[in-house]
Formats: sequence, structure tokens, C-alpha cells
Amino acid sequence: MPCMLVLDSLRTFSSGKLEHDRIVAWLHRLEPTFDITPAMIPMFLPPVLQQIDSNSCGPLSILNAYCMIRLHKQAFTYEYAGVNLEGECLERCGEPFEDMVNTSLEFAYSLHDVDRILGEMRCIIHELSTKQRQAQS
Amino acid sequence: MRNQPPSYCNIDKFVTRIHKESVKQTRHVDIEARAEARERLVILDISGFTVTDADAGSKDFIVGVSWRFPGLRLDADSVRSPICQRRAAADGSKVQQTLHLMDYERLHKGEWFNDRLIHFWRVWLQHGPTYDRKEIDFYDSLLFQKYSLETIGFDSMRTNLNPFDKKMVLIIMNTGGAHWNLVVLLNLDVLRMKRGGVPRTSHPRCPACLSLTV
Repeated sequence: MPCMLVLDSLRTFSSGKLEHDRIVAWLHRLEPTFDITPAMIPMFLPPVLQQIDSNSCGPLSILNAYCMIRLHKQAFTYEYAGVNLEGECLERCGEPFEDMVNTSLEFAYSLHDVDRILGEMRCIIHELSTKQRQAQS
Repeated sequence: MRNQPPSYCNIDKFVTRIHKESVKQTRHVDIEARAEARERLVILDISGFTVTDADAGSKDFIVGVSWRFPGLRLDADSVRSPICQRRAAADGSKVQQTLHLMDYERLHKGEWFNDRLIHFWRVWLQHGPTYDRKEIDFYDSLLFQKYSLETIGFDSMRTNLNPFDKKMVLIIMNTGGAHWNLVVLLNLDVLRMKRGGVPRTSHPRCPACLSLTV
């Protein structure tokens, strides 16, 4: 199922609409012969963890990217997404891709992880810098 | 549910673990090369994270991300001081992508990520062992903007882009200059197949029905 997910840690009613238009236009420009329309690539907003401050969107985006990379072997079928062929939610499911976000081990993280990950990122940069100075001295 | 690990286990040490795993994957090379790889990666095998951020001098340095190493693109050798960068420029050698450690400041709570940080961690994730270049494409907002807005030379640029051959395309986008979110395009390769196009890979998937009878 070709589709577009917007993993937005600050969801609003208009989340993803701008991105959807931009990306469909980009894809159309890349392959005009495909006649790509927004309907060919439906957009879903999985209910990912929401930030409670104004600045965690950066690390959360990186974290979501990491989760998706780990999930790349998954077959992203209609059933997996929890939608029918028209892109409508199945009765037994909540939101599209809700199961992926709420039950997969790859997405098992909390807001507590943001601070830890920022610490790890700082540590790596710091260590790289220290190593370089040792090499130079 | 009893066997399920605590919520943080899967992503615990996510940044460092992926590169620890990449050390394990160097088994095919000889002992000396492995030792060298370990030496390079010793800085990444850290697990305590008790380092303080008090060392302001480190911010004078630049971390360079070299594209020349196929297995590991970010190592101690690629860390260059500004002086080295200038020398390299004077020598005519090509300086690759860089991250200024001024950006280090933005890795604290209450700060916003900038484009360079997003770019840096994108490159970092792209070199983890779970990243499959055949199946995944990954762009950040800078790269996407370049690819989407560029008019001169767009055709030549287009030949290097192959999102329609990928199962997953990740794009970290910036909205309104204030908010980062992740866009994931799934199964774009299906569009190419529906159009009857042949994937631009050296090993296209062959639709077939196998009957394995005993």
C-alpha cells in the first residue's frame, strides 16, 4: 500500500496537509509519467508520542526515524495499517497505524528517553572532539 | 507480556549501540583491521554517559563526516579542527559535510535542533547496521528543499534520486521554521511496478508463482 505517514509529535487539525501537497508535487516532478495524485498516496497521521514542551520535536523526529528504520522489514499492508482498500479505518482498529505505534517494540519509548538521548548525542560529540585533541597534541 | 522488555530497552543507548553492532559486523576482515576498527570505535563503546559538558574548549572543533568509508563514516580520523579544515581547503583536498560543535549547545534540554544537527544525526543513522540502503532513502529538510526547488540541473539531479525504487523514504521536514516532524513514504516501489516500470536496481524483484511439491 503506497502511503505517506506524518509522524508529528505536535499534532494539530492541519498536521501533514502542507507536507502532503509538497511531497506529492515533488514526486510528480520526479516522475511526471506516473501522474501521481494525492489520492494515490493517502496520508495517515499515526498517533505517535506527543511532546509536552515546545522543543522536543527535533530529538523525537530523529527517534521516530530510528524506529521506522528498525521496522523497515515489516510488510506495510492495508491490514497492518488497519484500513480497507479505500483507506478507511477498519472497525476493529482505532486510528490507522495505531497498532504500529502502540504495540510494536520498535516504538516503545517515552518522553523520559528524550533527555537520555540528548545526553548520548552530547557525549558522542564530546568524545569525538576529545579524541581529536588527543590526536593533535 | 511477561517477556516483554521494559519500554526503554529497545532504544536504550540507541545512538551508540548501532555502532557497537557495526563492530561485530567486521568479522570478515583480518585481526589487525579489526583491532584498528575497535580502536576507532572505542569512543563509541561508551555506556555510562557521565561526561560533563563543562569542557568549553571542545566547541572550537568541528566534526567532519567523511563519505569515503563505506562501513563507518564517522570516526576519530574525520574529526578536524578549523585549522585542519583551512589547511585542507588550501591543499585543495575536499572537505566533506561538517557539523560545527557550536551546535553542541543545541543538544541540551530547552534548545531547538537546527538543520545541521538534523543533517548530522541523519547521516549517523544512515550508517547504523539496521539501515538498508537498498530499501530505504533518507532525506533531511535541506536536501529535500534542494531536490524540490532546484531548477537548474534538475534532470541530472533526478537521475541520482530513486525514491520509486524504495520501500521506505524518510524525510525530516521543518514546518514554518519552528517545528520538526518526520514524513515517511511507504511502498513507493509499488507505484513503479503498477506502471510496468522496471526498478532501477541491479536485482529487480521477479513476480513469480512457485509450486513446491514434494
